[in-house]
Amino acid sequence: MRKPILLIICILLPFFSSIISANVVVSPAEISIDMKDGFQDGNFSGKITVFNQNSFNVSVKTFMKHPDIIEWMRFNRTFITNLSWINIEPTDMIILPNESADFYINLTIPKEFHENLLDQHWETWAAVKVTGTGSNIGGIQEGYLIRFLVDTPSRPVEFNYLLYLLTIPFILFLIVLIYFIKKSRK
Amino acid sequence: MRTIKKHLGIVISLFLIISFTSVITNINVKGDLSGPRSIYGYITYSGSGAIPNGTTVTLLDVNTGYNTTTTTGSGTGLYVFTVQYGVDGGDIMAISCNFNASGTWYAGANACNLSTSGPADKVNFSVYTENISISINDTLWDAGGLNPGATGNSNETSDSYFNLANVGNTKVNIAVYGENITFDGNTWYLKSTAGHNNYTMKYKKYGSGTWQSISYSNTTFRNNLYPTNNSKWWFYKISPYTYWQSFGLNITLPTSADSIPSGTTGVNVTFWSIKA
Repeated sequence: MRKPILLIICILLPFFSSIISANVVVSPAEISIDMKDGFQDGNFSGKITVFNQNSFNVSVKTFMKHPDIIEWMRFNRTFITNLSWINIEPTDMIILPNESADFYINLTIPKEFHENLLDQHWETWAAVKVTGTGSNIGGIQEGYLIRFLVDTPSRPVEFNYLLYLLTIPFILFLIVLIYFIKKSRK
Repeated sequence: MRTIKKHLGIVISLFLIISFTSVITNINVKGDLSGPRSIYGYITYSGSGAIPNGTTVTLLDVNTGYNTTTTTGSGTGLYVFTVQYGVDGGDIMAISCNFNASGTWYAGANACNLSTSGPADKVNFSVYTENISISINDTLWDAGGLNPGATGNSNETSDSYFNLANVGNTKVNIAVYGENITFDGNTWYLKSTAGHNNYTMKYKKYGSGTWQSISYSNTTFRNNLYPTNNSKWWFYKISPYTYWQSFGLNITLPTSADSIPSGTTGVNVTFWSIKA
């Protein structure tokens, strides 16, 4: 219900707290994956380290996001096809003074999409939002965006899997060959 | 005949074993990456002459043979470059560079404060992992008692009240975004103009004279903020550079509201930094 303006008696104090500004160091500034040897099968992890230089705890929240300032994207980069293929863990953490914490980016591209995703050059941002603890009334907060660059294979990598399959006949052939060699000695 | 068959069998067996091994190798994937490393260096020409436009600087990894090239612009007596290298980790600690122009050149790199005079050839550069870190001064701003819908429902600081500095070791861009105010199940929405249940937040950079709206999504606050003046970036002392940005904030409460919070409340604003 809309209240008459004259009846509003406000004791609101928009307020920026002094303890919010947190001095942390985030590294690296950028992570790249070049899958020239073939699509990775979900076992990749890129590590981001956050070091808390303050004398107080800091709260860190992390998430992956598409770039939302397009002009900041690297040349010739595009959004990843599906953001759900990337996640970062953990998503929440308290870091004690003068200690660091590691956050891991996991990338899994489902195999059924591989053949349609050759020669892709993606850019995704890992967001690390840092706030000082001890205040719940708002304030100035610091955030860090780590560029996560992914280059998919430029040629079909299923060829490797084909070779993999061929090894089975190779082994069978080897067994047969050894058999005949032994037989020829008799 | 039997000997020939025996040797043939050994050769074929070896071939198959090698083939099998190579297949296994080809499908190996990369594990943890340490992130790219950057090499910061400079070249300058003898005297005060400008570096010819299009001069290429090639950095060669003496260990792997990997090389990468950067090209100078025109009309400058000092060319500072940044080159990405080492995306697959490793500890490549020495890189040689070669300049393809003749004459007397001076070259150097950060971190080791190394310099040499030309022709600059096989200059060692140090590499290190980049980090990003910003610092915002911890000055308290109490915007005071403001009345939604009343005259004087806004307040602002001077344009130098806050200061944001790049205290990392690489150049960054800065974005900003604000959030809605929620209280007791109610929401005041961050908009570009104040209205019913809508409030505004703005910033003004030092000396700019213009208030800019802070929106609910990221917008550019500042580009190319250089790292704090430290030894790794000593060469930037020669040319103009800035590693900090002062600014002020303005907040205007709704012109009317369904509800008002009781007591003190606050506003969130976040400054995001990203490698430029």
